[in-house]
Amino acid sequence: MKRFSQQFKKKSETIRLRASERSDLRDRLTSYMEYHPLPAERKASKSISTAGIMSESSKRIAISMTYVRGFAGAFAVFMIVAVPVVAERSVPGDMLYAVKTNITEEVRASLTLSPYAKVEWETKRLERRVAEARLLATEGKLTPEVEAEVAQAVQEHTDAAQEGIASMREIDEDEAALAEITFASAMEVQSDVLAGTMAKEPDSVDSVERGQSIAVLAEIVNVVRDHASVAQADSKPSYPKLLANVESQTTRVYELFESVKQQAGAEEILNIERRLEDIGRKVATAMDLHANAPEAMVEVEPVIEKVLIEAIPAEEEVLAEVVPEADTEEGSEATATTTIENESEALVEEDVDAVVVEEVIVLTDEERAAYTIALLREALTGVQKLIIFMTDIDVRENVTIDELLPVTFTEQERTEVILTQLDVVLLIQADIERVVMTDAVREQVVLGSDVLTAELETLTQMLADGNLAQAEESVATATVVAHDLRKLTADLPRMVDTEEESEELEEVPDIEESEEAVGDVE
Amino acid sequence: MVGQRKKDDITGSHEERFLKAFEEYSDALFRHAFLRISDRERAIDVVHDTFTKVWTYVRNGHEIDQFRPFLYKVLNNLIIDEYRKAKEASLDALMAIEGIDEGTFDELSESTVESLAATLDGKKAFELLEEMPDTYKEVIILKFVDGLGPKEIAALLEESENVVSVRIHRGLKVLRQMIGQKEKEAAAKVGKK
Repeated sequence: MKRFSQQFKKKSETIRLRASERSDLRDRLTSYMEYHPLPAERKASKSISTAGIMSESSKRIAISMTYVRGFAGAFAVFMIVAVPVVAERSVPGDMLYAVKTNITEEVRASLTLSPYAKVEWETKRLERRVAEARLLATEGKLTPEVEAEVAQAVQEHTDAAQEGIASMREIDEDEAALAEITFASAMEVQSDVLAGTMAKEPDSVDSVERGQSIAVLAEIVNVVRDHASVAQADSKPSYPKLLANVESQTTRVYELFESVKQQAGAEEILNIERRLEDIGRKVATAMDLHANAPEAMVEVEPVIEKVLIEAIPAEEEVLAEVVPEADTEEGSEATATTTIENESEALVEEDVDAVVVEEVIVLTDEERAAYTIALLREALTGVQKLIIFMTDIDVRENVTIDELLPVTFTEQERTEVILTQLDVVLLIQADIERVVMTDAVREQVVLGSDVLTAELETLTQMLADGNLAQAEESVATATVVAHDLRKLTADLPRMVDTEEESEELEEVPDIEESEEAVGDVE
Repeated sequence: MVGQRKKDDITGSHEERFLKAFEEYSDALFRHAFLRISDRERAIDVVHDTFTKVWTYVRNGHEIDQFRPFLYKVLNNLIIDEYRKAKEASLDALMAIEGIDEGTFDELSESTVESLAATLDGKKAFELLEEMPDTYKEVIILKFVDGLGPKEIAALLEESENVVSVRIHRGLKVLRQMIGQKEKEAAAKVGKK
């Protein structure tokens, strides 16, 4: 048996696959395996070593790996590119919104290395949250929960931006100051946009609710804006840095403007050109001032800073106080007496104002420096607002350029406005002189006329001195008084040609507009 | 001979184990197929088909602890398919002849198989294998070439061990007859000359 088996076996072993047949068979088999791979769940936890497969048919495996890689690549592209791209358009409540805020934006945040860019990005994120909220609100989908979320996000981004500014201040105060200005102007735009959206809402019950819901958000943004503008006013960037920033931003604005020109309407182009001129003038003035007092710019000393803080905002404050008061008086049914009382108050304030303004006009080197910086700061804010206005379609839809960035009038224009207003006042005065007065109003009218005459004298004086700010004040006051007087005497008969005159007067609606413009100038 | 019945290494991925089985058994399977079909190309195809079928089985979620019996089973079925394709009638005829025969005591005894085998010249027998009817060839190859035990062969062919033993016994007898006949023929040739 043994012999037979052995012989038999030995003989049989002469039959075997030739090496070529064997490798061929192996190739056929491995390619079969590649085209019929195991389903994913069969692959189990055991790692698949492809080394064994690779050894004899590396070519085919290579192709297969290309497929695998290609597929994996496509999937990766989908996850890395497609999902975030789609997520970018999501709003709170969408499935991909979390991807947008927690992944895409965080990744971008971690990719911004410079603190300045970080602050910029946080500002951008804040803007996006507000834009989302507004989008939801206009669609009527802004629920209280979402709003709370947005409010929290706004707060977080504000904190992050402030934090960035604070950390920047330790390294580079100028940069921090610039960032602060940027942040403040962005917040101003947002607050304007929100106000614009609210104003747009029609008066249905539904939209009142919507309007209210944005109102809460608007309030938050306003608070942030106020904080930012206060902080911004406190910061003191150096002249060269500020100028450099203004110039680089201006270049960008011009580039943007060039690209926008084709699509924009003629009016829009004019508007933007006008703002650019304003900014250019401010920068030129600032440069002039700087050139004339180079020694003052060497270093901004604490004393100078104090002057800056006191002089510039104080002036703004007083102006702001006076103008709205005048506005309310005009609209109210106030009697001439109360007007006159308020008038005298306003006059007192004006005195204060005059002192402050005088300080600015009689420029010491320190004040010149402060004024230069203030001008540049204004220019920078203007440029930034323009950039936002031109790049953000959302902003453009909700805010007019006049609301966002009112025209800065040149001295000539200001004088013209004053003169126009003066003409109106003089017309009214002439009209009032012809009134057949009754005893009831005589006293008030006489008193008012006196105030008016005094005011007009001041005005003439101021115009002669070239003190435009003061002249604007005077003409505004005079206009208010004149209007009150006219209202008071409206029902009374005129001596001659009364009808025509008053009609003519009705046809001068410019007063209110120009007044507003004057109020906004500073 | 029968000592290779160790359990296949169950570590590694399905692919690894499968390819290992290929390295280990492809030659034996080919030998078996070639001896049965007597056509090199077709034998290779059958071996290929065997492995692809087993792979499909693995893909469908089945676990294979031992590849060898499974591979032989698949291979055997494929060879039978081959026969069916090639010579359907003759296979049926062969099957008909077999079957009900329970075999004698002699044929069932392992020792008689051994003693019978001992009388045969292995080399000559191997050369005559090709001419044997497949029923016998199959078991002879499984036993003496592939080294399977009666139990394994029985499982593989889905017959009882008895039937397998009888078939081997008879196969050997047939071989002996054939060898005898060859020798006679050879002697006759020499005689003539």
